[in-house]
Order: sequence, then structure tokens, then C-alpha cells
Amino acid sequence: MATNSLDSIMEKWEPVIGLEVHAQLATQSKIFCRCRRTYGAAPNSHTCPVCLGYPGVLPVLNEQVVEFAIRMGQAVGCRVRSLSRFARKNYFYPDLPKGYQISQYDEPLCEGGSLSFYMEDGSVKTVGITRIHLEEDAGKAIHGLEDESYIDFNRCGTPLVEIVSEPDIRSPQEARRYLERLKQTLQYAGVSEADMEKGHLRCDANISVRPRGDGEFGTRTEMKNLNSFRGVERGLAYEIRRQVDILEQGGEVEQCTLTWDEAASETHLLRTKEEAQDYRYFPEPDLVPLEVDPDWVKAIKAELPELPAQIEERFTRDYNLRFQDIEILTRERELAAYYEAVVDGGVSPTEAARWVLGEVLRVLKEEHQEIGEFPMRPEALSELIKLCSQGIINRNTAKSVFDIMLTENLSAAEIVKRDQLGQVSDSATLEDTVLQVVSGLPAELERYRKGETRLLGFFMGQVMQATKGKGDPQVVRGILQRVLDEA
Amino acid sequence: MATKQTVSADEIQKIARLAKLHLNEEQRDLYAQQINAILEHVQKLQTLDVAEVEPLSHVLDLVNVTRKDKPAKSLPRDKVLANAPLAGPADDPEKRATDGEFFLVPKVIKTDQ
Repeated sequence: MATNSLDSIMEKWEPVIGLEVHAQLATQSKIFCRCRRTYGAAPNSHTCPVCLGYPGVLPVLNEQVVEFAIRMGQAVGCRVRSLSRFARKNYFYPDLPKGYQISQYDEPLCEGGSLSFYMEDGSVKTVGITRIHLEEDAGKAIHGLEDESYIDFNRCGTPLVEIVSEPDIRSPQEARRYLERLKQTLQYAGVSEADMEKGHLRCDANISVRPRGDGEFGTRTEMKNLNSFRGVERGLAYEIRRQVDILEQGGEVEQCTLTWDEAASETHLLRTKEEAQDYRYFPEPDLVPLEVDPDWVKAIKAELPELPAQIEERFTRDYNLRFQDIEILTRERELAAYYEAVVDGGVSPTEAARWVLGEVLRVLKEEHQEIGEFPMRPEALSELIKLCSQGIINRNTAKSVFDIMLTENLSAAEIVKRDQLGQVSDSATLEDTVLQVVSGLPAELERYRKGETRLLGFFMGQVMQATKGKGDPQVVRGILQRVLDEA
Repeated sequence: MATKQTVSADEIQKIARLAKLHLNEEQRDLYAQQINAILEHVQKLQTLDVAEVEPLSHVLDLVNVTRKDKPAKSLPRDKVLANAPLAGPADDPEKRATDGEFFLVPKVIKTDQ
């Protein structure tokens, strides 16, 4: 493998990447039968003759699946075909009991959209969406240590949308951001839980490289199993290096299918061009065509929830935050809602952002929690922030109160009262304390007055300690400065 | 008029392989002959003028046969696993390829999806 950094490779070579993402739709039941869609249920406890592929059964389409797919199509600006059809994709694998997957082929439900997102430098990237089609998931094979594999058919027939991008992606970072944006959009649109750890979202890539400035595409390879954000970025970087290495040594990239092995950080060859699968697609005789009423599409479009780009725009307009902060606050719809509820509690958007991005996210990370599990209600946090901005407690005290609020079911005001944490800003009281502290430190006072003014910080610390951290730092500083400078 | 379409014995072999069918030479030649007869017939149909006919993708004149997203009971697992293939060890010919939870198959490395 080359030791050159990816950056130096990318100066000479341009990767061309397209992603195929499978997302499980958040329906109650499966796509063609009424078995419940589950995750983590006892193996083979949610199957029936339809999803097990018994002879003589007929699939019946779940209309919620169509609605979710159209909604996702609308969220990324796709056209919806007025007539689409299902097709059989034929192959043999033990997790596919029918011996074929019901999918869509030349007449997919949605076509021609796009997805835009921010890159780290604040620039906006737009990637075309070629198509979104419906299909069913296969079962799950667990490979044993001995010579057996264990098959669980619960996942068989789980509804999927396959979202195919145009080859518009030009770096592993862009691929990662595209995937993050897609996940965010699926979640905002409410069509998929899109949890990669649960396999709701799975990603394959087509990738080639070409010399920068070249118009023609190089020979592409297909990579499977890029099933985490990190995996997408690292797997693609690995494949770019591999292809560039071959080309720089005068070789040719061979068209093939690879699988990314995340644990080993390397790819394995699945099959070469000669072994390419022949799926023998043909129209699915068990399902009649799907005709979509344009009025239905209009209604779905009208009822679309707020999407990531819209909420980002609104946050920029209404709250005047940095785009990096907006990006984090809006990554998950629930976090954005929490933030807005804090603001609605009557605190400034900037203060609310500082607390949510700082303290709230810190705790979520430490506790491995989702925002939905966070114990502090947004109104309670607003109240705390208000005590702080009104000067009743200082920021350090507020952080301690925040931590207490996480474990004790008390409001900020109740904790401040119980623990007597209220900030002292009464000048007379503070002046007494200042005079006491200063007179107890004659040597330091001498040095200060001889010009060692950086000792101000030391005196500040001593006074704050004497007030048990409750002194209003601004008032203390003013008094201290005056007392020290009195000759 | 299009040239006559034929399927070679090699192509028959390929199709058989994709369908996981093992054909002997005799079967292969027989199927090649039969399939070629079908293709010939289709070529005859292709001479018809169908400019005015809508393409048909399904024999039933229906669209949108759908159902509500309402889950129903699945099959009990013991019933499902009772249909696992016979595992057939010599001492227990009735044994099924299951451990009571999963279907067991010879170990496979994923080559496709």
C-alpha cells in the first residue's frame, strides 16, 4: 500500500464515487405480509408462509411502504412515476428463501432528485439522486465457528428503499457527509429510524479514479458493506489508494466487487467481472402494477415535515448562530427540538446554544445517551440559564447546579436556595471580604504595589475562595482593583 | 425481418447453472431444441403490427392491490422450524437442520445480495 497521504494522492487523482444506500422503512408490518417488523426478536419468531417463500402464496403490498417511499422522494425532490412495477431479482443464497428478491428494475417509484449538505469548510455540496426504488430485505445469516451458518428469517420482507446517487461524489469526506445527510433526511422525514448500528441503513459504493482534469471515468469497482460513517470514509480511502497504486505502476484497474472488512481495515475480493451475477430480472407476476395518483403525491408533499435544509435556514435566520453550531444542533430532529424548547423558555439563542452544545452534549456523550433519554426537561434548563444571566448565580455555580439537577428532581432555584448558592453582588459585603483578604496578605500587597500587577489574578482567586465561589466576579474585580490601587 | 435467433448448448448450460440445475448432455440438447422452438414462435409473433397495442405487464387488468399497515400473528416458531430440511445423519434420519432457534445450513461466505 502507498504511504503517500490521501491529500497528496488527491492532488493528482480525482475519485468518482456513487453510493447505493438501503434504508429500512419504519412500518409496523413487513412489505408483502402482515408479520411484524422487528429488531432483536427471538430468531424466526416473526415469519409466515409469504415471507418464508412457500409455494402458492401471494404477496400483498403494504400501502404505508409506498407512502414512505414517496415522502422520501419528495424530501429529495424526486419525480414520482405515475406507473411503476415490481421485478424479480433471481439469485440463490440461504438468507433468501424464495430464491429471488422482489425489487424494482426499469420502472422505479422515484427518479431524479438531489441532496445538498455542508462540508466542513462551510461550502455546500449537491449530489444528484438517480432513483429511489422499493424492495424487500433478506434474512440474516450468522456464520458459526464450525462449518455451519445460522439463518434467522425475521428480517425477510422488511421494507427497504434503495437510494441510488449519481456519481457526483469526489472524496471519502463527501461520501461520509452525503450519508450523514441522507440519514438525517430519512429521520426528519419520519420514514426510517436510520440507525446504522441496527442495520437500518446500509451502504455500497461504486468508485473509480481518474487523473485530475480528465473528463472520462476510469474503470470502477463496487464496494459492499460500508455500514458505518467511519467505514464509508476509511473504506473509500483504502480503495482510492489501491486503484491509484495500480495505475501509478502502469497497471489497469480490474472491474470487480469487493467487500470492506471494517475490523481488519481492508477489502476482500468477492468476485471478478467474469463471475458477475446475472440476476435475470423479469416483471414480478405476483404483483400488479402500482399506479400513483398525482393528488396523493401532492398531499404527501404538502404534509412533509420540516427538513434539514429548512431548519438550518430557519436557525440561521432566527438565531444567528455559527453554521458549525447549527449543523450539530440540527443533526438530530430531537436535539433541535430540545434546543428550541430551551430558547422558548425565554433565554437568548446564543446562551441556549452554549449550554446545549456544551453541557448537554457532554453529558449525553459521557452517559452514552440519546437526547430522548436526557433527564433534564428543556424548561428546567431554561430556568437555570436565566438564573445565570440574571446574575443570581455565576457560571461556575450554574454548572454545579446543572450536575445536581441531573440526579436530583429539583429545580435550579430550589437547589440554589437549599445550598445557599446565590451570588453575592452586594458591594458592602464584598468590600468587607476584599479588605479582610488583602490585609491578610501584606507581602503580596507590597509586591503588587511595586508593579507586579499580575498578582491581581491571585487576589481574585483568594477573594472568590473567601466567598465560597458565590461572589459576583465582576463586582469583586472592581472593588479589588480599587482597594489594591489605593496607595 | 430479424435473423433467426438460436440458443446454443453453452447458453443452456449457463442458464441451468444459474438455476442450480444439473443437466446431462442429452437433457441439455433436448432443452436447447425446445427453447429454440419457442423462440422461433416468438419471432413469428414479432412480425405482427402492434403499434396500436398498449404493452401488457400483467395479465390481470388491475392496479394497486394493497393493504393497510396492520401487523398480524406470525407462525409459531416450532411450526416454522418443523419445515427445516432433513439433516439426515445415519443414526437419526428424521433429524431436521435446526437447533430449535435457527435454520442451519452449510457455512456460506456471503458472495452476494
